[in-house]
Amino acid sequence: MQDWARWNVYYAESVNGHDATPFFVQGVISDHVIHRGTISTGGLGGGADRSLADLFQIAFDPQHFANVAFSDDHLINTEVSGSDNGFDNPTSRRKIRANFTRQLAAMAGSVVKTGSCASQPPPPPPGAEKIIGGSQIASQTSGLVANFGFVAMNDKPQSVSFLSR
Amino acid sequence: MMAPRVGSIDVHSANTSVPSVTFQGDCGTFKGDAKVNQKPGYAYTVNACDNAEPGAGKDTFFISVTGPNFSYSNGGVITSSNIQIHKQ
Repeated sequence: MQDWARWNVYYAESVNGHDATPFFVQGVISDHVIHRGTISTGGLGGGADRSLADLFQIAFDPQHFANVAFSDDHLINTEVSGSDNGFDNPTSRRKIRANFTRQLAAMAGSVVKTGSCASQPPPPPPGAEKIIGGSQIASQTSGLVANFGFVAMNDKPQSVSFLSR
Repeated sequence: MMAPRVGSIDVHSANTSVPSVTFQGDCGTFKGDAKVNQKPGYAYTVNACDNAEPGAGKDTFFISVTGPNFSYSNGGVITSSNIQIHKQ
């Protein structure tokens, strides 16, 4: 399979973000493609590739230079037999590593002078929001428990059962 | 209609009317019609929060049930298992 999405790490900074017309500078801070294929946007409930996890972190040092840690699984794990199905093949097993980079100078990326704030995200599609559970809480009768189970979705009738002795 | 004895209650959603659900943060609140001890004519409201993984000792569940001359509520931190919210 060819032409899977290729992901790099970007850094953007504004020092006047509260102004009516803030300025941003941005640039690529990874020196290679760090991931190929899909990424999950659904957290623990996501069905896509979660190999990068949630391990991107950023902090400023006393010189106001960015210190960034990020995940990287671009290398194929050739130590495992049969894992190499091609560089652009998502079925290839990868080596997942942590990378670190530190800003050495003021950003030299392109200066972004226009744009607008992100709009309110659209409401989740039907069925995308749900809460489920099943467990116990203390009963109103001392020493006993109450059992419950439920499924609530944003597009279907809710189901709940609750039993307390 | 006889109200159930407080302390012993068996609630099942009946869905005889359109239920509703709202999500806010890590919590969901949903309500609808219910049968209590197999008798219709009651209404329930549930608020559940997914505060941690795993949820035992962290997630919360509250239920209130009302009906003819009857009102019941109970809730608190769950003691086992989990409550899971999916936002997308």
